[in-house]
Amino acid sequence: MYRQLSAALVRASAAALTLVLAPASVPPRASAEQIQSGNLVMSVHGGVSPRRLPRTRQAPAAARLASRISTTDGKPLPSVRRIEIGFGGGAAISPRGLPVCPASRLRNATPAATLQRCGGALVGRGTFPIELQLPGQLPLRRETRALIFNGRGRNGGLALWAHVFSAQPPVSFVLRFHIRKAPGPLASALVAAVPRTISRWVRLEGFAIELGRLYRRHGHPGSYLNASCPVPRPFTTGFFSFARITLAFSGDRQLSESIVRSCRVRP
Amino acid sequence: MRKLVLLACLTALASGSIWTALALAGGPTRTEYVDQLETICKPRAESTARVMRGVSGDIKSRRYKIAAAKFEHADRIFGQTVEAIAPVPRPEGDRSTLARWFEYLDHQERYLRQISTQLRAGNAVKVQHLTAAFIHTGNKANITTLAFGFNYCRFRFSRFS
Repeated sequence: MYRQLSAALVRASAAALTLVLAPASVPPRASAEQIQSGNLVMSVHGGVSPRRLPRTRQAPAAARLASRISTTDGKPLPSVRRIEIGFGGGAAISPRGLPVCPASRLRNATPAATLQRCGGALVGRGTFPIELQLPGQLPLRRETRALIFNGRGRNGGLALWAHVFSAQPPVSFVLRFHIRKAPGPLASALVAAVPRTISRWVRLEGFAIELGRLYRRHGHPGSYLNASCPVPRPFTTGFFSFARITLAFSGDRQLSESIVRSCRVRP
Repeated sequence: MRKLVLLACLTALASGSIWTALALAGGPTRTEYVDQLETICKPRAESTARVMRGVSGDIKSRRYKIAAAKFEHADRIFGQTVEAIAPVPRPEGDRSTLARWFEYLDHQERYLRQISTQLRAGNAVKVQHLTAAFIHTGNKANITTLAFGFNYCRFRFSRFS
């Protein structure tokens, strides 16, 4: 059943994602940054693809971001209450012309169903490793898959819906990321509160997401994510705070780490 | 004035004797060591961020001499910080780890100095290579002391941009 579903999902994803930039094109050489507070360790990594970007104008790009949390003493992870991903000024989200998927259409749906309902609004995908804690049972670890859709907040603001799904055991929930202006050098931030109804059963162990989509609007090409490498001449390489990932846990604990990456000017 | 000098001498003696006692007793615990270093690093990390404010704008506007002066100032603060934290007695079990960390800090200090020199000379290619090496070494230093949970003594790119 799971294999059939996976095959169907792969076919559906391939059809819908032909224009999404390939995640494999993100350079793997980017190393992970780590931070530790008490017994809690968070590693973060990611980057923007392509690395060669125009100096003055924005060009289509894709971003990959991942975070993994663990404990040094093997104790259970605290529940994640909030995920915040701040993006550096080099990258900008532009969903103009993309369809908007109402979050309600993703509820209790399989990935195939979500693609059928909201395939036009697909802007990324990812994985969310979780530990499922069911009463009277040993914790179960699963690597769930996620499809990410363009959404709209209640106040009309930009948003992203991450539909997280596992077939066995059946798990399906939607994480709602709202996009807001971030303070400091980061231009914008994706913020998602993890509802207690989810964190009660599901312990997030991290996430890995890829964002980016090329599409056509009124015959003109568009890109969900755009980036530039704004370094002055005669420099050809720039360094920038690509992203900052902040995870807030139960018990008022918080871990935050920045990712610094470089870009090269496209001649 | 004399009272102030006397007070300063007594404080120095007291802190010196504390360090000697700690060294004789097998060094401080990791928590005590981190607390002591964070006290030293905090004001210097804040000064670095103040000194370096606007440096990326300076480089974008090709004010290389101003940017170089900022890097020189940051390098002086960095050097003074390393000088201040190096003599603090280290926890017995962490000596080799910390020796490696101090090596990275020395490299970073050298890179900072070279960045300002090359910026003054307008040598963009060298500045790029040195900046990459500076960030890479900072990340290695952070990973070496991950278990210490440093905050102000940790390398943060944002303080230099």
